[in-house]
Amino acid sequence: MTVIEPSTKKERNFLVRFYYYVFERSIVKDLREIAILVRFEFKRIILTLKFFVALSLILLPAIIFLNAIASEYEAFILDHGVQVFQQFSADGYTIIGQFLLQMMALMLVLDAFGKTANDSMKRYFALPVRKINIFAAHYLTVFFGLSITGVLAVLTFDAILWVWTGISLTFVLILKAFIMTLLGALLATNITLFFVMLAHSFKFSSSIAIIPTLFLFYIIPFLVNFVTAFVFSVPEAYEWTFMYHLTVITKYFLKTGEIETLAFRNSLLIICLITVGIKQIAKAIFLLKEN
Amino acid sequence: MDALIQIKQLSKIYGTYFSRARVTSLRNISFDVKEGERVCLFGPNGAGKSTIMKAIMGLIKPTKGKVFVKGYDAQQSKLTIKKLIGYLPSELDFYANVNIKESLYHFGLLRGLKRAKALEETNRLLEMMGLSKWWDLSPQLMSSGMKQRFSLALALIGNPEIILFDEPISFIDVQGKMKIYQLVHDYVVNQNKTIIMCTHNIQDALIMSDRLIVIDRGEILIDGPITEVITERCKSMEIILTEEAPNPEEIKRILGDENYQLSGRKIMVQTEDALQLSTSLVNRLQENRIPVFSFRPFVEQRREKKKTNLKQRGKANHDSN
Repeated sequence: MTVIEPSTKKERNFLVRFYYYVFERSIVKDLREIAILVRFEFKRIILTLKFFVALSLILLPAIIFLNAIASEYEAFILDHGVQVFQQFSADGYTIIGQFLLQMMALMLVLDAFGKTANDSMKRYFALPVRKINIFAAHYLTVFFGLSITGVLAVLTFDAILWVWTGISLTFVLILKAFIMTLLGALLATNITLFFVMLAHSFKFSSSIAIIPTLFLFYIIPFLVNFVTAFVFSVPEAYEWTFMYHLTVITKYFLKTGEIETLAFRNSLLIICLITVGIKQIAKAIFLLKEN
Repeated sequence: MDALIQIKQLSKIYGTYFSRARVTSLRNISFDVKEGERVCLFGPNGAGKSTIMKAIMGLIKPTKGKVFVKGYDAQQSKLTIKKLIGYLPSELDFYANVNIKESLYHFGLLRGLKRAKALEETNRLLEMMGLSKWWDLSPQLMSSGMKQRFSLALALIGNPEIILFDEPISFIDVQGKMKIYQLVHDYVVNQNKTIIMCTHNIQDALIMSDRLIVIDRGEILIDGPITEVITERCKSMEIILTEEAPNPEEIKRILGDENYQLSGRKIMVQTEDALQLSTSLVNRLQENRIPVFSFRPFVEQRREKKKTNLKQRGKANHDSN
């Protein structure tokens, strides 16, 4: 059956559009398209980034190990079982996890929406596929990639911890750690996505998008921290960074009681608003751009 | 017979109103393409050929004018139109690390084929392109000719009615080209497909099409049956070299005492068999590694038009002063 789209302006009234989207162009078709794209893109990206994924899975526990061995404080925690572990260091480890998954997010976004995919998208745009489905599918690919890596990393860490010390994280703690890690990664995903779209609009290479993201996430917080610690005493400056707000949320979730609820709510609002808002802007740029 | 594709007063200006660099790519272009016709858009780089292709697929929004494909407005029925069109872009960019069978099958599914049908079509096209032995190769390991055939398979999957070739065979050797010509020819003749291709190589145009539309700077200069255009309206050909100042002695040594005039970067050929002669000259230049920037019919009309435009501008300036 051939799909008849409303072809003239006159035909594009509400009833015709309603009929078209409900009966002709059903949501099932959209979901099928997205599923086909995700299946292919996921396979492609995992194959492209297989070494990076493997590296992340090894790196995360390795860094945590090094951290634990290097510091007396951490070693002390690992010797004293799950209770002490939960009280003192789960949030610290989650923040390290966030950092690694953010790097993973950067790589995934650059690959899915960046140069490689932009070239392949020229072909996608010539296919009978809705542009919004292309965006959704690529975004979902990044999301699934991050989720799987996040889950694997947390579980790998738990398994190593269990083998080494005989203790294991509780399911709730694993879940909380995973959610927090993913939240940080999604923020990095959307910000990188926005800069990739901006770079494409101005005909720059998408790899340039890595620079503002790195500045926002790592270089600015580091500089602020450095300046605050050694030059001027302005501790409030650090509160203007993403890393501060992510830390507040993570600490609140994993060490309830230490952070004030108001501070947590503020941080959650800031992070969620930026995560959602910037994604919408990136999507709008993607949809409005001519190919 | 009704036209399959109608292009009406199409204009395209790239850049926004506030942009410093606004580029006029198309100026009031109008032409129709009938079902089963093989049309070649011929012109140098930057003439506006690819923009016309993109406008047909609804990928760009025209500044003025309309494009209709099978009666559907290209701006308002993009998905319907894209179902009718198979597109072969000039760039050979593929998905690294994914084998060609997987990529082709994926495209089949996205063109709306059911799984079994997509697999059947994939196998059929791989067989047709002579790639079935190498189905598990990733494109990065293939030769340019194989890549080109694979690219053609991607454009043909889903059995589209109209095929758009955007400079499809510009980077491969003569043998590879002949193979592609043969595949396209067999496919088109057997299934009565409509082809629009754009190229700046007159040899490709001669073999692949039966109607020639010569475009330069966003305007149609000549439109007609290819044999008529070449024998009656292209008695002068011009070859433009890329090097700023080629050594005339060297050029003369390579080209011998043929009937041509050399001035600066331009070589003019004005004889009854201008096309044949200029093709042979281009081949000789390329054999001697002298890059050719453009090879096109020299149209007096263009020169007259320029003169008229300049006169009009001059008159307007004079009046305003």
